[in-house]
Amino acid sequence: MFDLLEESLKLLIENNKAVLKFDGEVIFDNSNQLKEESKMRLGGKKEVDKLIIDLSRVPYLDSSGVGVVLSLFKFMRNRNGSLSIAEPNEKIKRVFDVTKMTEIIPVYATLEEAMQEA
Amino acid sequence: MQNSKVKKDFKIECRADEISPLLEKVFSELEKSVENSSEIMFKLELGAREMLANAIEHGCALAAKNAENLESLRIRIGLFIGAEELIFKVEDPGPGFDWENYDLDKMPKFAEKGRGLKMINQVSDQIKFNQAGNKITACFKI
Repeated sequence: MFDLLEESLKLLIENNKAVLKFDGEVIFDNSNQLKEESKMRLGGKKEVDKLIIDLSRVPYLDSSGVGVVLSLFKFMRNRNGSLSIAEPNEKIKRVFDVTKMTEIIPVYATLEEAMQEA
Repeated sequence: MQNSKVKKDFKIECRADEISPLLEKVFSELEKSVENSSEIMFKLELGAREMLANAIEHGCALAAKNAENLESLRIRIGLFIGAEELIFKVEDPGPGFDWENYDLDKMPKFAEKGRGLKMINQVSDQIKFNQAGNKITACFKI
């Protein structure tokens, strides 16, 4: 099933797994919008209990972007689900290190790995 | 005493799309002045983006309440690259904040907001504020 959200956000669902693919920077200027749009779309997909955020097309993610990821982490936790991240670039990995996100959320180098582990 | 290699001042409008073009100019100066600059560039980008985001999201937003229009407001940026350190300053048009009572060290775990200044503090070697709190200076050792 393919659900097109808008240019900067796509949601692909396969059984109980979903891949949320952002396209473009996830920063203070768009973070609220992306967060609310993501939650709204996932809200109607109650069967999804494993969410992977695909960052392969995200050149940068700032502290507000970290907030989006954490918001979705809590959203999934509230439905006894899980969240992981796939394909962050080197800059985003540094952001995750500095904010200690990797202590909370698994990060995978490829989407394939994330799909297998999820 | 340091030999001043680069001293540049910039001004941008209170818009997120001004950040990347500004940083390109800053990185260009950094690459010309510092050998093996990739590590400091990582840290500077991380810190500078948070400094500029705060300036726009908080400083400009507060200033806009008293301004005729947002388009007239400007953020001032200063760049200094010396032999041993790089200094990056951001001054926004807002009233500032109570930085003296702000915890810069403890990184929140699950909070969705409030990480920006802590990130700047983590990646830089020192940060300073002016009295009002609308100007932040971050120092990075080279």
